[in-house]
Amino acid sequence: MIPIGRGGATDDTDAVARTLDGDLDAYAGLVARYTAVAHRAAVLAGAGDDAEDVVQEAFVKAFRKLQTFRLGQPFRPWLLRIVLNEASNARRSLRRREALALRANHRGHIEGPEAGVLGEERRHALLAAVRALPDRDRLVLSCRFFLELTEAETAHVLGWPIGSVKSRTARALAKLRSTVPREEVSGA
Amino acid sequence: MPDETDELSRELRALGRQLDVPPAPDPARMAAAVRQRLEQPRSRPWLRYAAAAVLVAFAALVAGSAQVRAAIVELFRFGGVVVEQGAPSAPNPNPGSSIPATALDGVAAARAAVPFPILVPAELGTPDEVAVTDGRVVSFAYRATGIRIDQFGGTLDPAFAKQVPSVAGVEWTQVDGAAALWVPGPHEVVYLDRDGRRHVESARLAADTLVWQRDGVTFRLEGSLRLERAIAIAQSMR
Repeated sequence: MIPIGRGGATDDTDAVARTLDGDLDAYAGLVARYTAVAHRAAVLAGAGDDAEDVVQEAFVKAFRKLQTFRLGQPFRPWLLRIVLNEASNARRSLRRREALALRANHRGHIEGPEAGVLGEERRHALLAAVRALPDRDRLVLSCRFFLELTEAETAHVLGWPIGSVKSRTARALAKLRSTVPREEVSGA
Repeated sequence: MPDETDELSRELRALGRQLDVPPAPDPARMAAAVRQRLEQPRSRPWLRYAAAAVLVAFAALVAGSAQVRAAIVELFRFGGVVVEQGAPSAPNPNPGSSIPATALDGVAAARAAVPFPILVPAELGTPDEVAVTDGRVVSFAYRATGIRIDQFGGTLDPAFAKQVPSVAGVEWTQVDGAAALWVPGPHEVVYLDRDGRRHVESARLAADTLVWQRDGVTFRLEGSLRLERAIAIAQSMR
């Protein structure tokens, strides 16, 4: 499932250009390509059961402001920024406080090839620690590690300078290291 | 700077993959749903930008612009509508969202949302979409015909209404024996908010429009219509 929604930059630029020329099929292609990652971002941003509506709304809004997209720039972070804004609108209207809906998957299965499964205890400890972080820390960690965005993409999505992304990530990781020190178990 | 490959980063990535995220919607279905919304330019966009609906009609702009590049001249007011003559303000192809309309669930919700009575045209029946703007303008949309009806509380100042101009196709007619204004399209419509501010970003071109009043409420009917048909619809408002 991961990496999800990474289209080639050239494909995206081409699809956007064709969309601007009135080709709705080209835009439908972009929507299909980025549905999964947009949905995941919406859920992580607390859209809950509204995630699907949020994603649809975000794609419609993205279409309407496509003239502001600079051709050649990466499309994915540009889109995800709209998704996160839309999710935060939805959350506000539902008066949900939680900025990030983080729930452990009890099935605990791995969806990526890279990392090992975390032990249940470790998982819950980490999750609790991430939840307890201030909003901005949680946001930047979610972008970097849960959505697996690069620093540059994260900067774009959050609208922060890249320096802030780096320093905020470092500080948040340092906080986590102190609240959930690494397990002593070797080979975990 | 965090080490991308350090243990904690790896653990967080692993955690991310074990988070409980509901299955993503089917991409093809999402693409179809989005596409369907984008193909209905008459139904959805106006909901959000219904504000553009009402209050200022610039007659005489689209065709003969050259001779009227000067300042905008207010010609007259009729109910809540001000008719002006002047150069168009370059309608935004992607009208701004600064005057949000709120979609409502049906006519009953509209009646609850504004202090004046809301009528429904018997000729057209129940609208497909209903929205309220600024708490004072109720808009109906009929998808099949592309007809739009705005209703807003606003009283007629007879002194203004008598200043009958003869401008670019604008003509006076009657609905139920009362004065009504026919503005053939296309003409530009700009929303004036409660403070009289002109929301140029909401400017758009309107089709043929009939404006009339009844019991202190101003009605605005817009669509690609002949005058006779517009009047028949107007007279069917109950």
